Amino acid sequence: MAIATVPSLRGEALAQEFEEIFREHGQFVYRTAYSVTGNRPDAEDVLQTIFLKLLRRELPPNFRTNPKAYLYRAAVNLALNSVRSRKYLSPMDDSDGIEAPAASPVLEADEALQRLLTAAIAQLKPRAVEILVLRYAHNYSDAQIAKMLGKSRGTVAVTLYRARARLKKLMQAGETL
Amino acid sequence: MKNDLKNMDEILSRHLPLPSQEATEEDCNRVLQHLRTQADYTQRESYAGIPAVSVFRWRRFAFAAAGVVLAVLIGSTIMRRPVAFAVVESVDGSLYRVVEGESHAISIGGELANGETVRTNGGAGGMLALADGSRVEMRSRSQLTLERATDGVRIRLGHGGIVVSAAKQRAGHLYVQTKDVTVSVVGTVFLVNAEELGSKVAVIEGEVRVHQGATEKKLLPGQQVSTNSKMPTLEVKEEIAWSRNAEAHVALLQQTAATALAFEVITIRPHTAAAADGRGGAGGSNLAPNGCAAVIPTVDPGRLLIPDTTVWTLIALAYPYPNSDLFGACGHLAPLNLISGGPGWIKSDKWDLEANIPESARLAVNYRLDFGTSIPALSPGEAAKLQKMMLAFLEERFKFAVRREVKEVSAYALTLEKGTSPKLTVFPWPSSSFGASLDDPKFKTVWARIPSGRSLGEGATMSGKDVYMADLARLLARRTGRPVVDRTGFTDPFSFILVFNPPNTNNAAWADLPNVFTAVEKQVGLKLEETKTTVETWVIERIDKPSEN
Repeated sequence: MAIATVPSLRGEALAQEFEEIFREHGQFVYRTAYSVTGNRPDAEDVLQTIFLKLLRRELPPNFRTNPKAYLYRAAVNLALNSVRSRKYLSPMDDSDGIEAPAASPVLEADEALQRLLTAAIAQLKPRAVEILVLRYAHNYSDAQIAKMLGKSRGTVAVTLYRARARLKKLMQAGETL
Repeated sequence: MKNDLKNMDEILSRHLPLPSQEATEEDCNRVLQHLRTQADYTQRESYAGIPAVSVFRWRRFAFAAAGVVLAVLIGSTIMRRPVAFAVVESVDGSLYRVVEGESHAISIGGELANGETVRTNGGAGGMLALADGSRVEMRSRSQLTLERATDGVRIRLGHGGIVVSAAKQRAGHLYVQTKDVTVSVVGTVFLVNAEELGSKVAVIEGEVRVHQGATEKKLLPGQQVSTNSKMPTLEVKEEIAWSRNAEAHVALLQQTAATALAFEVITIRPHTAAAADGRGGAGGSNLAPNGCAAVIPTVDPGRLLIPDTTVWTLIALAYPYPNSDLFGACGHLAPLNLISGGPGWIKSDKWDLEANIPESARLAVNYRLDFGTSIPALSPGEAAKLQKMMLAFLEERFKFAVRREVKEVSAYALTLEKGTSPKLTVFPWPSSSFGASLDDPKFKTVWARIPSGRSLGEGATMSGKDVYMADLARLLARRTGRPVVDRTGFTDPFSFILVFNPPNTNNAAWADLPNVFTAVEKQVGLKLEETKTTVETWVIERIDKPSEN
């Protein structure tokens, strides 16, 4: 990947610009990462990694044309890597759960479903996850998703449909493991 | 669950993990704070990484000697060289660097870079010194990988056990990650075991946070958690017995325990009439059907005496009654069902307790004369101290263990119209001991006898003289069986008399009295409204008869 240099800004101006970008997109990136990883430390890790790259001016040439889309894609990709590496490190499922504090049966069922969902999402293609998360974590419409990711509304709708079908299969398979 | 999978749209809408706004802001702020420190560092030295350990300090001295300008110019070039992440400080046997599946022995002083994996063999352990000053002691047959996390260091423990003495992290965290948990710390001593069955984390000093999926648990010294109930449970001191520093770690544990709040000398024995000390327990049964023993504890600054009591009453004494300095809350707690479980004997067997309070934890106690009896009243904050000591006592002598759960429950909220104050009125009820009105001589006589600061709830009447909103809330909670939250914002003392037909009762004599909602509004000028609140509940998981004194 080509590494571009941010136009030279020094000291205060650089800090100010950086913080503005963080304020504008930080929570969006964090929520994106959390919805894929399902936990705070990993989401925090993703957020920090992305903005450290920004801080170090390791940016692709297209960053300035659509910062939000770039940061979003980076968040999805890094979050997916995080979940997948967790899976690689963890051949055994963590279905037993921490002993304490114990949750109610309803909460346990919800958490189990959420774990299954997170594991299934990690097996989707990044492009599908990008669309899925915009829809369900950020409540974007098909039109808004299409505009942000530079795709047609038809592509978004079809990708969503296929992603849901694939997720269902993956989750059903996950249950029988 | 299969049926639930039919509607993926609904599942995604309801179950896609989403952080709370509070968590989002907290984590984003933390990251920004950390990035700010990185930004300064980057601008000075064009590099963001962890500083080198002492054995590499010459590099930093070299930088300093070269001066800031030179550092800015050459810093990025130099710092892009592989930086030692850790150094092998000591080895009992052999320690190996694992590269592409092959093991290469490392000796003392050997450097480990970011991303490198190291393992110990069957008969050996080893100590690594990390760049941030932390020490990681590896048990035999352990394997870990050291990595740079975005805000500190991450140790991925593949298998085996480690004891980590984490240095105070300047801005970030030290993480230990196993296959199923992540532990994050900022400066503490703790143990992590990664085994086939699951992971175990135990704390020796400080505080750690254990994350498993979306669950986070805070652990304090002496506490441990495992991800699988099938894993054998050992005391923390046994878990760390393999460490070459086990003695020091155990001493640290004991030191932490000693500084914790605990009674000094405790005598607990089956109740005898002689021990009743003339208070509460003497003469007749003081045991209510709910297992609470009516007894006024003798609380001196350095001594606590509770005769003729049940363990259930003692457990209630240890429970931190919400938003209150109340100590001795068994009768108040019982109707709320905040504590559950345990064998029957805890509500029937009687005990006499005498405990000395250590010099360092002496209590501030005031006494007030209440209807001719001297009642101990604890200064604000003292009840919490006593509760902690009581809990420690129960854990030690009764092997008491509870599972704490935070639940959202139905509750009532007390509210007050802005600009108004609670009022004192007398409800004209013929059976009331307060008479018919504020001008009634009967009222004046009775009211004069009530000490200031006294609140009382009996039968259909509830009263308080110069009390606070928390007192009224507590009495109402006891009578209604639901927690009562004070949302009045009213902080001055006030007096009240309430006469009402208590809910869940069937007393014909009270049938014509107003219900509690009407009474609170008409007689005190407040409103009692339905609401939800979160409470901590205790489920007793274990309790044994006490050990010998």
